[in-house]
Amino acid sequence: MLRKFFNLFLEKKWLLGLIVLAGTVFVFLQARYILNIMSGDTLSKTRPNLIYITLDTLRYDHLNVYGYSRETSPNISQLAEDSLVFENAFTVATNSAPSHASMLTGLYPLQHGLVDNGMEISPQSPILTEYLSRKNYDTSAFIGYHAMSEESGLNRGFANFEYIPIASHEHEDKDLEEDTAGFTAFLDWLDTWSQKHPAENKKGESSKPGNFFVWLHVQNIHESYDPPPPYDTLFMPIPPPQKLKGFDEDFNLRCANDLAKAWRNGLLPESFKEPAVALYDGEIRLVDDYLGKIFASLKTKGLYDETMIVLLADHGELHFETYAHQFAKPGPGHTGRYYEPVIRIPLLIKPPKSAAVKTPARSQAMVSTIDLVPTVMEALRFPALPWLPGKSLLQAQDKRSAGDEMVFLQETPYEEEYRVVRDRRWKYIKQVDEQGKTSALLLDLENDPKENRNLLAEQPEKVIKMEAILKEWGDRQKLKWTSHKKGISEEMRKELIAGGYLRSPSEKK
Amino acid sequence: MFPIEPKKILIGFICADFFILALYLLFANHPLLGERVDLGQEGNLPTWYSSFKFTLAAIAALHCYFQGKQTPYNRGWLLVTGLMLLMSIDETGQFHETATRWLMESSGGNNLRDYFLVSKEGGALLWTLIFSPIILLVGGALSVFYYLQFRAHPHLFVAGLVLVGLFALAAGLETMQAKILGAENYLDASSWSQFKIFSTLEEMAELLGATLLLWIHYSFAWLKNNTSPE
Repeated sequence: MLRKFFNLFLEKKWLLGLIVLAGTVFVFLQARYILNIMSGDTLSKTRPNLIYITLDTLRYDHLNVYGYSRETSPNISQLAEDSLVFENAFTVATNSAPSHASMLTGLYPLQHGLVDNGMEISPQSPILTEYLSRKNYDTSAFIGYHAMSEESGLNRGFANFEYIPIASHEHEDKDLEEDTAGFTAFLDWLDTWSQKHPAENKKGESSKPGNFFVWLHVQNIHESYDPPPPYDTLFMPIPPPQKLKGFDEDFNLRCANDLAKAWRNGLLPESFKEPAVALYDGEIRLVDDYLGKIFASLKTKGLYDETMIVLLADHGELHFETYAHQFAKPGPGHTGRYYEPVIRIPLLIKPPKSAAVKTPARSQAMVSTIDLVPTVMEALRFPALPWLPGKSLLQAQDKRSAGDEMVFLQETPYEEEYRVVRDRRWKYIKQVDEQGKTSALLLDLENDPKENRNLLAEQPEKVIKMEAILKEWGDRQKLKWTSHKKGISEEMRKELIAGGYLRSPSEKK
Repeated sequence: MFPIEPKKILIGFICADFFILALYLLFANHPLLGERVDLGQEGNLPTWYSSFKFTLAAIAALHCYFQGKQTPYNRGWLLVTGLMLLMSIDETGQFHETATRWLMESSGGNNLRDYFLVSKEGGALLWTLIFSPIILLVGGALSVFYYLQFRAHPHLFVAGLVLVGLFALAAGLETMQAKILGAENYLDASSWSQFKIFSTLEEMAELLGATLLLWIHYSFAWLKNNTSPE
């Protein structure tokens, strides 16, 4: 046998030559592969810029680009003309901090360690900002909510990190300038950056020396639904504060606590629902107008073409939807509620011109925020990081496999762990509370789009299958960094209680 | 010139390999001897022993050259001798580790670390990846050379393939060790014990590979010495 093997090559020397040739080609390819990885930041002197615009609590179905009839978002629609629009995009968490941490790391909360608002991301977890910073990107962030401030560790890698909360909470005395301070700070930063990096080619849209990554987090749309004039009455008149049964003081529709209390206790007059939604839409329009200014500024400065813009929400929001079962808290709100209006998000990706992606385009693929970092890596011409669980969304729409037809969510709000798997038809939500007690919800979205029927008892085989999928998914995430929950500051505690993310001592009782 | 049968050489060195392993297992935690017998460390007994075997393999290869016909193919043994000497020097001098550490300090090294998610602590263990084109080229050339030389003794060629497999296994294990050092929890008990297991297996694969290398060269020289010239 061995002799035959030897004789084969001795008799047919061309075969040996072929093997040697194939080996040489393989060695050459291997050398190229290693050199390509190593020369990651020298292959191209100028890369595209990157802007993350995260619109906190924005429902996808309230944007015109997703078919909403009220004119909430003309500038986002304009951006969509140059973008990939994802019609089946999902978040990985319904809490802002875990969700944003996943957008910045490309990892699930159980991997990066930030599983709840008020926590800190593991200092060892890799993060896109540090990666880009090492590649000489100027990094800057403008954050509107305390859960993402320095305490969260999401400032890691940002040379400039500004926490600019919505300053005014006086519902009758809202100030447009104060409410839009985050946008102004970004525009000012962009002016300064642009002056420091003058265009090489005055005529044009050509790329500039130097790159930036900016994360703009917009908190305006988040409750309270309380835009300043003229956005408060843009879509309809709003009832003034008034007496309402169950309220000692005047009930104010613009106050999140009043609205939630009235709705959850069945005290909210039916006629107040539409104005509440109009206020929410007014916030969106405000944000859209200021986004318009940013897009215009980028165009004026010749930066628009070579800037990748990722516009999305960290999660959606429940308004006045009702559900036949008592699995989660009713709206308005979002944390720990895994219904479609909360987990589905708007996602627009405007690729840089140099990425040569055909736009506008709409995708029906099931995608999630876990896919953002791989997408950025591809668009910015960095090598794909093989340890990331997500996949790039730029070119591979038609190449996504059956396994990609599922999205996963995971986080630990209120010290209860939630894991969710959703495919095109089914959604399975598993909750494990502090005592280890498990409860679950199985929904057939095809036959029950309003998500009212828990099929847990009726579909035991499906439950077993979904459980197995969740387990396999959990096992697959090998890379995990320990969460470092530290004592939260008093300021953070107050912010979280105000936002409904933390139960106040009286609520716990 | 060749007083010992190749079989005895093989058995003797394999016994010595396992003796080195036994020393390591017995004295790994010894305050004085621990570092000197640690398979995972450089510049100690296991590396000197390995270096010594490469030197013997070089001497055996030189014998093969002198005993063969003076053909262009036969001159390959001189290259093999040079290669073995280089490996011996490198094993003692840790040149490839130093070169890798230097490379990993560069931006290219940063890119590699990001790509393979390896921390600074594990960076130098990526040398198998950095030098993989060279390793593949040399390994491939050596395989072809052995094939051409050992056509009358196929068992030596098979042994050559086994040793290539052992070195490939060692390279793979070294990369996996680098990966373990990349994770945040590398200092926890299970990761650390996994790292030590990989490290021990890798070093044993290298030691056994070197033994086979020496045995192949010695056997070929011995066969040539004990059979009529070609």
